[in-house]
Amino acid sequence: MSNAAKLLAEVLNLSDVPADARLGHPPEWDSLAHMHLVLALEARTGQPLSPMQIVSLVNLNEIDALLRATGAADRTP
Amino acid sequence: MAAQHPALFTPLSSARFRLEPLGAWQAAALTWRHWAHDLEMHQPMLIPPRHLRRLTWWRRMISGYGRKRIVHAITPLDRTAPIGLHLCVFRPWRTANLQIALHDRGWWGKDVVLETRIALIGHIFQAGLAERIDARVLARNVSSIYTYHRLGFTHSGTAHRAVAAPDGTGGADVVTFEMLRENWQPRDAT
Repeated sequence: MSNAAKLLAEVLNLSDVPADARLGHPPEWDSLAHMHLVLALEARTGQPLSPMQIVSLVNLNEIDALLRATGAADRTP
Repeated sequence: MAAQHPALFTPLSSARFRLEPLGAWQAAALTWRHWAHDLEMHQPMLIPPRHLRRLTWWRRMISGYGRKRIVHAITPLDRTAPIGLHLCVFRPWRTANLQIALHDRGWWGKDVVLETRIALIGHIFQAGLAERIDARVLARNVSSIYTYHRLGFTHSGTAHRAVAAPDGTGGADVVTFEMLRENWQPRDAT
């Protein structure tokens, strides 16, 4: 499981998330979970997300891309 | 829109809620009661976080009511008292701007916005009330951003330090979303 998938699973309180996870799928990815995801990503990257980064978070691939771009992909949570 | 459009006053419903169009005075009274003094309600609507003057509020709400703006009361099907209000503002060219605030905080985080917006947006496009719907959202308003994504809106821009920050610490960034009539696809809230 990728770091992005692990992070998302942790936020959604699931053991695993589907590879095609996106907003609303799985259903646990609701608006409240989305807020927790942003906070978890900020904790992981160590900086507030920019508006563009927040808006881009629509699926697992984008979370992965953000973690890679910020160099947080390989960082231990 | 030069005259009142009858479709603006069509009652709507979703799986859990009634959306009842209000008359001008009722809209002014209810928004004044539930929004004007509740500073937490101001943030999602990008209203400056300070108390407003009654005359200014009422004048703004009543002017052009039924042509430029309409308020719907959002009421659960099994209740009589509304839990929130939805404001549609129409402006040239055939653009609608949507604002919503739930004063009953027990309903926050329960996809009320998503469900009621699906009903409203579908009606606006189906009745030909607008060709385009847009929304401005604080960049830190993550739950609203989530909802616009779920509705299929496109992120159309970012305005940096465009409004006063709710906590009074300077300027806050705003992101804009839009939906064109031809891109709207009816959907359910699940």
